[in-house]
Amino acid sequence: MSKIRNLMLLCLAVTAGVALSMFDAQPASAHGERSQEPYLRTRATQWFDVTWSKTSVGVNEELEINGKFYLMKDWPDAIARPDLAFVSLVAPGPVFTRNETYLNGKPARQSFKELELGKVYDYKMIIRGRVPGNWHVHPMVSVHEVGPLVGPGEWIEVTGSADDFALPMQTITGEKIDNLETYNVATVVGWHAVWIAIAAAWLLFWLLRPLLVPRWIVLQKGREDLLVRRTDVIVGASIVVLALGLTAVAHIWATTAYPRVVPLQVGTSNHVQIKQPPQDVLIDVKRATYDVPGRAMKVTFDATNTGNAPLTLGEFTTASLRFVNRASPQAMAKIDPSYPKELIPERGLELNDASPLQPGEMRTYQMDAIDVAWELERLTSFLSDVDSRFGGLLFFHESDGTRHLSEIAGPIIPVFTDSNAMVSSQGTAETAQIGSSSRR
Amino acid sequence: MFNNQQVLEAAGFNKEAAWYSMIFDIIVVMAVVLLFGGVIALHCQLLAGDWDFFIDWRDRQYWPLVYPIVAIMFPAALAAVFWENFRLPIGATVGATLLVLSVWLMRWGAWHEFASYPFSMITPAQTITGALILDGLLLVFRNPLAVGILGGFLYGFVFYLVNYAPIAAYFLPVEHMGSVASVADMIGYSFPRSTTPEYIRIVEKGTLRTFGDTTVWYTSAFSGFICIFMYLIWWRMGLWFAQTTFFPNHPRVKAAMGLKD
Repeated sequence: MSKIRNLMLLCLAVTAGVALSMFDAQPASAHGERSQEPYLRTRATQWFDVTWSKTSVGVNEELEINGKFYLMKDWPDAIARPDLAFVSLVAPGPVFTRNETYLNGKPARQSFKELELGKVYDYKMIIRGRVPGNWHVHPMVSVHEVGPLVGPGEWIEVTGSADDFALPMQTITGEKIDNLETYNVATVVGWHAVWIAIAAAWLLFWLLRPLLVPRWIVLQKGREDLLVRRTDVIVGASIVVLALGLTAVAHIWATTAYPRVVPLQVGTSNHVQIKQPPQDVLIDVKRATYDVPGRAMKVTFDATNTGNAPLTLGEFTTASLRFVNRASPQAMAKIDPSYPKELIPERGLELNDASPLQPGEMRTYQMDAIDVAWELERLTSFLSDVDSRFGGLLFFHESDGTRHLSEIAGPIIPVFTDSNAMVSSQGTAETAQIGSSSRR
Repeated sequence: MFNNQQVLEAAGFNKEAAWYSMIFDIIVVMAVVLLFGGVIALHCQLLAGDWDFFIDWRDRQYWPLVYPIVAIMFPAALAAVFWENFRLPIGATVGATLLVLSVWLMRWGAWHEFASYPFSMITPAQTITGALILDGLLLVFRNPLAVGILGGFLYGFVFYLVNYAPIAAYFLPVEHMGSVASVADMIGYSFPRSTTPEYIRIVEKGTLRTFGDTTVWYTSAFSGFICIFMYLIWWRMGLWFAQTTFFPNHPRVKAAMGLKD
């Protein structure tokens, strides 16, 4: 007996401990994009040129989110191709309303069919502040059977009062809607109140009697005639007639009041292709490593300039992180002031040779992207992937600022030495030599 | 109006016993309201939630089919328990009323107040009409099979008719960015749901070509047909789960709990 009592006390204590620990829970913020698999964020969609027209709007005030995304040719095998996609935004609920969205200049209220890998898409969203607060807002493209592919986020402040919000609209049939938030709600509530009142009356008709034990005893004694009388049967039949009659009246009223209606519209749209940025530089990845302790992605690749102008490697971007060659004025000019600073690593992009790549030239680049952002953004779980690959975009610039885009993708190898260890194209072989020499 | 005194006399209850019986009734009613209010709402959320959550899922094919089939289950089980044990024809109405009240409470508290969804987007449907028909017919026929066949069919068939009236205005046409949309579509578009892209809607896509514009009548009839079986199956399940069974305890368990064998 005492054993069971002690066990029960122990269980109570554990439960109390767990319950108390919940009071220390930190509020959640942002949207968990960092919890998405690294391969989704680095190898599916690359977002760039993302701008937010404002970071503070009032209720009912509009702001625009513009930008582009590129669908990687090295699309992960683990997810479905983008045969059906929807351009949207990520925000904590409907704190903004969506006025208009465009994909490649076409209205994007519906979903789009058959987006193509290896292409750039341009999007625009016009949204309006609705609920006051400070909200993290991202552009997003949802892909059927994949889920959300989320772009970079920015904090947008909405000021004012939620009560001032209104979303008016006019129907084709001429009805004026003052506010879409509250339109027709009173009608719904009214009809439900009618039916709830009838149900309440029916229930009270039975509940205002001895309910359970007396009825059970009387039933056992075979006196069902006392429990269900002729009056009750008449009332029951009347309820059926009333329900059916009111249903008919309701439907006739609705079809008479709203004779011209349309069903839900579900057609998908075909997208149009926009002019693609020049992609004159061919990329061939030779070796890519990620130095885990050093938080350094190091990629060796051959770049061949097949165009007519000298090109400078200005930026490497992946998962909305932008490693910018700070020695390139053209690359620095492409940093919009509204772009979130935490997504632009301070150290930038380090190159073995930052000089312009001449037309026809083939050069082997050693590119280092070093920053703690790899860990903060949780992009480093290569070890848990069945497919250890990396992906991103390289931006090359002509002297007049014209930008060329190249996809870069390939296998990546994690390295577990400390940051002082030499990692060259021999990689682990040299590391093994250093390790063995230190043991002598 | 009521023969309460006759019932109490037939049951052999004096005044004091009747008083305690009433207290017991009140306690059970409160327990049923709290328990089944939550259970039925959770059940419908899980099995037919999306169609009931959002106005832009109220189509003519899946909503009138899925929701009545799901929503009839618990009311049928409650009807069986109340009727077989107490001759109370209120089980279905209790289930449907608790469902609509719980769902409204949830929409107001969790969706509107906590997550700022507008009411125009999240108004629920109601199944009280069909439940009243089930309970009324149970009183008239006193035969679950007859109620299942006629009442079950009517439950499914009237669902769309009675729930279309409150939401008809949401299907007025609107022009938006050069294309037609219903007001319901515009509500779904204007108030973004990050994890609910437009293509995820399981709604009529025009594949029932033979039926053309009359899809909803065929869907309602088919829904009624399935509801017949749902009612009869869940009637039996209600009775089975409501029975009491005693499992004897092992003497060692009894000893550990301090009970003498």
